[in-house]
Amino acid sequence: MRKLNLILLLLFYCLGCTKKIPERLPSSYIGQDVDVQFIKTPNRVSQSLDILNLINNSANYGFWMNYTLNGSGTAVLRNKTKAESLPNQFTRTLSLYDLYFSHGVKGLENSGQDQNHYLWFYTPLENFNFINTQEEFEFPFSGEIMDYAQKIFPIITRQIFKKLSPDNYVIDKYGTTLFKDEFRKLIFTEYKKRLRKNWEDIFLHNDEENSSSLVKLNAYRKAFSPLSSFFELNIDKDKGSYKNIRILLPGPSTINGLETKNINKIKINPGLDIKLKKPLVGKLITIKGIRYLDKNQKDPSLLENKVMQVDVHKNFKYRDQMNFTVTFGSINPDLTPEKIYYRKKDKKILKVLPLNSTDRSAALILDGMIHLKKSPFKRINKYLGEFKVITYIHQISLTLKRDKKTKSFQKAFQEYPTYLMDINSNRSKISIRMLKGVNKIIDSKFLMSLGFKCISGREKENDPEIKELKKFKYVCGSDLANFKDFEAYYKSKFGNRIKRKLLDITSIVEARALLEGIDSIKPEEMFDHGMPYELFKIIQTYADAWDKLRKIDP
Amino acid sequence: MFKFTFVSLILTFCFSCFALENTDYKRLFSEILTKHIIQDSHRFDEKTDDPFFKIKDSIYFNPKPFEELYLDILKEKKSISAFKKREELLSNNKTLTDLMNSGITPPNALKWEKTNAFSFVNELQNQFKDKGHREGNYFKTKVGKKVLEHLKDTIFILLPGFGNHTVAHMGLPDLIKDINLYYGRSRFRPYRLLQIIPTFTNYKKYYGNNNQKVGFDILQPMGMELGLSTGRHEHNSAKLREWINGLPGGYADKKIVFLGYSKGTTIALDVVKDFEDIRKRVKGIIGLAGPFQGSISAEMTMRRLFRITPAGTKEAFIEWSKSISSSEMVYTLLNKYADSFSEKHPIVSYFLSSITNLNEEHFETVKAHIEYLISQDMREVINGFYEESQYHMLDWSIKHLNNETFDQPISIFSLSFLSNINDFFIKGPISENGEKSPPEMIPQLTVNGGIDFESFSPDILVLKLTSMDTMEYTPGGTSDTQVAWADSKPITFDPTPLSLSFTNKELMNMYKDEDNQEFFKKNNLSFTQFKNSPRNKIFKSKNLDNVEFVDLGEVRGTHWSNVFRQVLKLPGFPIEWGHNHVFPNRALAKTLMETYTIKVLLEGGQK
Repeated sequence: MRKLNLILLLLFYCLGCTKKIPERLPSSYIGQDVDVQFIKTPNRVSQSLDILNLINNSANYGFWMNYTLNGSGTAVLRNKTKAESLPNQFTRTLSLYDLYFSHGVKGLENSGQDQNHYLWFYTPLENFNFINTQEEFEFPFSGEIMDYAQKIFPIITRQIFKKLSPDNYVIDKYGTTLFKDEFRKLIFTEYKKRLRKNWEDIFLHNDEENSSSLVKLNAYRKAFSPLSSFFELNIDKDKGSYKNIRILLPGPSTINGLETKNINKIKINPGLDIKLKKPLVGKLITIKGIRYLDKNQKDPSLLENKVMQVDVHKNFKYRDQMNFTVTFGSINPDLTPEKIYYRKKDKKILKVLPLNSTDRSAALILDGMIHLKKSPFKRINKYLGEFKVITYIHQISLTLKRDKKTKSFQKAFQEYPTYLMDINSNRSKISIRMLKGVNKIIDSKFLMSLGFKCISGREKENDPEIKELKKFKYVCGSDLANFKDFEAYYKSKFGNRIKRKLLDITSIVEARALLEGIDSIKPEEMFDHGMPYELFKIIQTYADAWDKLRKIDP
Repeated sequence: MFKFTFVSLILTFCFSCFALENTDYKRLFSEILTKHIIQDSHRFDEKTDDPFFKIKDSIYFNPKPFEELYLDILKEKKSISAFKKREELLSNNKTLTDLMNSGITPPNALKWEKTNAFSFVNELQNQFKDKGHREGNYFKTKVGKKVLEHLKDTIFILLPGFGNHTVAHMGLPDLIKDINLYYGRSRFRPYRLLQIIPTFTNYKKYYGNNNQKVGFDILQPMGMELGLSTGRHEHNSAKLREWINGLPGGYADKKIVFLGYSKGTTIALDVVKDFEDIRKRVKGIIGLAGPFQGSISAEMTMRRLFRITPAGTKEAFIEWSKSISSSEMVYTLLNKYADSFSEKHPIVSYFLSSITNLNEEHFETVKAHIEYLISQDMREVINGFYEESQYHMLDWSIKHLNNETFDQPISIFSLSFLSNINDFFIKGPISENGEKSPPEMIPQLTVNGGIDFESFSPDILVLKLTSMDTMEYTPGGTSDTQVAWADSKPITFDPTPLSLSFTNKELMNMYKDEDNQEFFKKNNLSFTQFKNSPRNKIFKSKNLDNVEFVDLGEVRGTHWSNVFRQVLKLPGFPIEWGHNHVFPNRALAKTLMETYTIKVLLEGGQK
């Protein structure tokens, strides 16, 4: 329950940050980085307060209602009741939050006000030439809110509040917000600068045992703090209301030495390397471990663009549905919104700051084995039976659908509905690398005839992906993906008419049919349903790290 | 022998002629309450168009006995299923609609028509049928006059709860003002604030200047009249006896029914136990959210506090407390308590720690309360708290729930409060166009930079925060935030074994206690039976002939909201100012009086 609280805190971080710079800056600000919060609200303060109150009420409703539903009777001495698993509590909380929020939006739509667009964008930004040209944003009792935010979520950067100027964005014909090129490039560059600086600080403190404890703690917190957040709400009764939330985080990291509770023994390394206690067995792939980046990476310039992004999209027309997307990608200042995945149906989805979500070096990696259907042909089983499979999660998009369709709000509030998660194939980006080591040239030729690319085992012996296979004379690989525009080392065309005749034609057709089908299999069919929950656990590590660092006495 | 059997048979038969089954009283109470709520909604022209929502927000009802309902909830394996089960059982739309549409069901007693109860109920039914009924002062209505007439030899004394000496407003205010005005007294007992503690007009003066002869009346000790309400029961009950004996002459011969709100219930039990002269006058105790089996909130707090000492026992804690000054103790306790709380509830503890960021005016108020608390003898407060714990109340029941203590006939009623956290956010109908009331628990920010105190209830927020620990110990979230459902019923109703609430060691200590040996011998109980048998079986003693336990069922709401308009009002502000709880306390008070009247009439009048 406690862990869930922290995750929620992280998600509703935006609440604690809606303020201008207080006159009294907390001492922890001095000499710190600078973040800017750009805000766009309707002119009337009361309208903005309606939204602030609605967010606060909805978040509290979700949290407290779940706290009761899942917390009661769990500690009695006999016949304890069981709470739902943490991921299930997360989806229930999200559903309850959303139910309350959706009802509130309905109220705003019917309040007789015109169309209203709210936008809040929190970003690292230290280009004062630019900042000083932007208009100040004033908000009532912002000092009090900031003090409160500082208490519940120690803010480690200096905050500046500005109005989001129309010079910086456009609303396209679908009503979607787009940041203008210049503004977007500026922000992207600042992201990279901040990430690089954060990693430099972290590595510096990892190596220095006697550095100031408070400074060290603050440096470590940055590895788990949102880099940027975005909240957009459009209330429009006629054209439809929608909401987008985006939180950009540094890519997942590993924290060691926490058990010592001694700040000087704690080290933070980029990336993850997790061996699953219980493999996730899916229809096609069994996952045994999860990796992200190289935990021995010490070069900040290679980490400055690696990020994880959480997106929540709600189209209020679909009362019982919400989209939740996690992207492991890289920041590329040259990337324009036109390049990101786009379909007419998705017109209201946030397009402000596209990530490169096809970069394998920034993807979350699942290590496992593939288990293709058994073939009646022994030769096929020999070649295709055991493959090492590396799955690159670039983007996982989940469609959250309520377990009970809302017939009326009155009834829905009495049923405390939850969300069920489904992987959304169309919006997910997953690529797969299949690897197999063979010693005989005939075996390598067979695999090549199926579209594999074979190299000498020693050719890439330093590549961690083929570490276990380098003892083989040939390492044969094939890259597949459920999206079109991806580049990969082993990618090659299937089939080779000349070599095919060397082998039994039926076997080849059979084997190719098996293999070619892989890239058309939808992600939700490849993996066990536990995969979204493993993803959720990774998000949870951010909250966990914050909680644990909070308990370290500097 | 034959004659004796025959006489017993006749007596038993006659008793059953007029006595109602427990479930009959529950139904009777809920039916009357429902009708009052509907009629009062019209009276006050409340916004709710559909009275069903008012009923749904105020009443929990299922005609089955508590034992059966509670076990049904406990059968559930998942926390969420237990919660849904309780709502399905107690807040079923069909059951509540039936309750609204039914008349007042004649009880299953023979010859009911021949009692005065019958005509009283008819009068009540007639009033409920009158769509144009505009009440004014209840005691000037036909039904109110009947209550005054039938209970003319009885007074109700509303006994306040833990911490009530700091509360300026009287309980059940919407009806209390009617009885005060009826007797020509001011609507509420006047008070002035001495720092933050209200000092009330002398009660002898207030109740001594009635403009007519005293008949039935409802009285209420206020402020420090019962001593420190956070202190020990023996002090409170001695003060209560003194208070009763000090009432003006017109009250001297009245029979007494205690309306024991919260700790008021256990004070009532103690005054009956300790003082024979009072015991002879007391005919009933009506527990309103009364912790008959202790308060889960107090129990959890005590356990947390005891863990401050390495031994973790009450004895070690008291020994430790003797070694330091009272103020030192407060700071240590607060610090340690906050630390352990913070571990489990980080967000809430962050929130609490932000109290220092309150603006100066509000912070001064909070500081004054803390300083007042520190000025008290903390050992007395801790002991007072301990006596509200489940462990203490079990011990109390073992020692005193017998013929030796209760040597006079008495009826003990229990009415439970049950809260649903959903109500803290949503009350009344939820429209499809997005309209609903703002949540009571969350402050709504306003354009002038403040908080909307009309919609925000500090009571609800404080009750929720102080009960965070208790939820884990109440399957289905069955509590009013401070007192768990089962604990608000006398132990004779509770079908669960003691091992559900207490450790082996705790029960063994109790089993070995020399002062408890008589109970175990008389009931022939082994330790295993004591530990594992349903509590209501253990206490179905033959040595408890004079007590009649009556369950009045449940109402929906929190520990404070069903009795007060708002406990945490800024000192000096009028009772009407700011948020007021919407629970129909007027309807509740009327129903309590009328149900008691029916019972008295069924039994041939107040004896």
